[in-house]
Amino acid sequence: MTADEPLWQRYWPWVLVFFFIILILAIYISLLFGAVAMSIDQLFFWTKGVLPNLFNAEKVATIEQTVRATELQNQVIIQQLRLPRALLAASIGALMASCGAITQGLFRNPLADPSLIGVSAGATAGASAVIVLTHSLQGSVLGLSLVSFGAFIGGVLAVIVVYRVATSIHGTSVSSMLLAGIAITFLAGSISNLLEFIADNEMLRRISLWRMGGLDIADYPRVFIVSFVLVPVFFILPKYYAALNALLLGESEARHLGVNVAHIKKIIVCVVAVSVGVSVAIAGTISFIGLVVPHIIRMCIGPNHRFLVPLSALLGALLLLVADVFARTVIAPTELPVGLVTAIIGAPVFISLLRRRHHYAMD
Amino acid sequence: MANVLDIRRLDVIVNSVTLLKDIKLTLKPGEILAVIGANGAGKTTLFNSITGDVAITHGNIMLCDKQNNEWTLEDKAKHLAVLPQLSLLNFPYKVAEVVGLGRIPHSTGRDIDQQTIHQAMVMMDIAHLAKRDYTQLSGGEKQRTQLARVMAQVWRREDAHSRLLLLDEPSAALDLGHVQQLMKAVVSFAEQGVGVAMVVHDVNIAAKYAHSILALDRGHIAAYGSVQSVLTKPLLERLYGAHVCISHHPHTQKTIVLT
Repeated sequence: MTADEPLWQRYWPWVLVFFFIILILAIYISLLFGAVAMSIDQLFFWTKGVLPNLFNAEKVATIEQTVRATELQNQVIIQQLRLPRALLAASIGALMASCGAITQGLFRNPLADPSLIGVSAGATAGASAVIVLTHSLQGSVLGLSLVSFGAFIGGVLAVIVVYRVATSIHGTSVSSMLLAGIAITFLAGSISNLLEFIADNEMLRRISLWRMGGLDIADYPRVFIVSFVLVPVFFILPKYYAALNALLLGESEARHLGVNVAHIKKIIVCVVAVSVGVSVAIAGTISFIGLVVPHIIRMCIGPNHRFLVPLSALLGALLLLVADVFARTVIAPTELPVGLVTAIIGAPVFISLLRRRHHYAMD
Repeated sequence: MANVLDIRRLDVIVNSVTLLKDIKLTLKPGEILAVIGANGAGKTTLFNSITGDVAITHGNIMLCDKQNNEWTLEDKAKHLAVLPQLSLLNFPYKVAEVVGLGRIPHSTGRDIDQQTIHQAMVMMDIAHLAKRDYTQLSGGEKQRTQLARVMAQVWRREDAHSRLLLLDEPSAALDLGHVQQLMKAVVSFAEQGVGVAMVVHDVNIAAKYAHSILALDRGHIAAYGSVQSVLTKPLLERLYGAHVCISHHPHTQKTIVLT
């Protein structure tokens, strides 16, 4: 009896491989775009020469000696700027979108977003605090700037407070978490405002730039930090897809299906806090990917997390990659903040989704 | 065969309010027990104490020959399935997927799962809806989908030797035809050796389909036994505070209650 199964489900692993290849291709093609014009030949040259020896500095140096100065510049642009940036965009997009999908599942609310549990607002407050209070300090922790580190701490701290507030001896209430998340968002927001109030012009500009988000700081250490989160997340999450599916029925229904609901909540909240915390710390608040991408996937294939989470990750990666290419080419050589682009694209998409809502249901 | 459910001297006190007092009941494999009583009589609390959602204060609940608190969540889900009073599922699952959620506790492989899902959908007359979005169904269709889900959970004798199904108002939101069809499905499901306990508001459903009835009155047992012994005029009038007339069905001779 497999007649009820759609075709794409029968070939599921291949569907995943197919979209993964598309993503890789998109990353590759995105290397062509940017402030400096790049020809396909130069990209091919880089692909043959530098790419296989990416982590072999000596070899790269000898290759670079063989090319002319203008070409050398292009090789360096691809190597040191565009590739890490494309990888960072893709992995942050993947993290944001998959966290959106599991947050919506945990809250049984299709309009939920990782920022709902206070992580983005907490991160903004953390970043603002570092910018305003330590303006003379320069330094880094684990390859992250102090501002990023402050943002990560702020985001995680906000989630811990939200989780603690919503947890009593009767367990953790997701509706309390939602309310506590709103309260913490307001609290963190006013802390940020207070900091802006005492900040000077230079600080204000840094804060507002940080808020808009951006991937222009991309380098390999940051790519490693994000993949250091992304890879474990995709080893942990598959264990919980069935439980998340059951959780959509309701908490007691899930318990009657043998799901340890309290445990799931803890795991999901931790995963979201760390993933979104790291994403926001590195790239600022990038809105709408986490909210809109899971909806697009759910409309196409339904809410089964086994398919929803991986496909959301892939589409999120693709969308942030495209948004970033758009952000750095549309008014080149000046760059738009990528958070601005995702919001400009995301808001109309989301509004059109809302207008289709009677069809896609959920009330 | 041993009882699937054996409750002795059960008290449930929450915040010093006595919700259940001195409840005892047994349920054999294949038996259908109807739980009746006015609103707030403790019917749902009784179910919640069986599922473990409410802590019991005194007494003892044996589920399939094992102390209720000795079960692991996963094992218990293989033996006990629960249909809640109302389900708020607002994600657009396909009907077949909702029914398939009932197979989560089992790891019997895709073929057996698909077969079980299909059989449960046929039994609840929703096989033709398999590919429809759950969110677009009518209230009655949703109810039948949920019932198919909990049946799929305890469908196979091979998965668990003794099985118990708790139904909280299964016939709410159903039309006359589907009430009959649903109850027939419950009866034939019970005949495969599943113990069924159900909360019903319509005493005529209890009269027609149940083997035994437990009448609760403000947390106490008002009556417990066969249909004829429980459904009497004085008891029902005391239970519901309504005037009733007890009669018999012209064909089946079963008790019917007229109001």
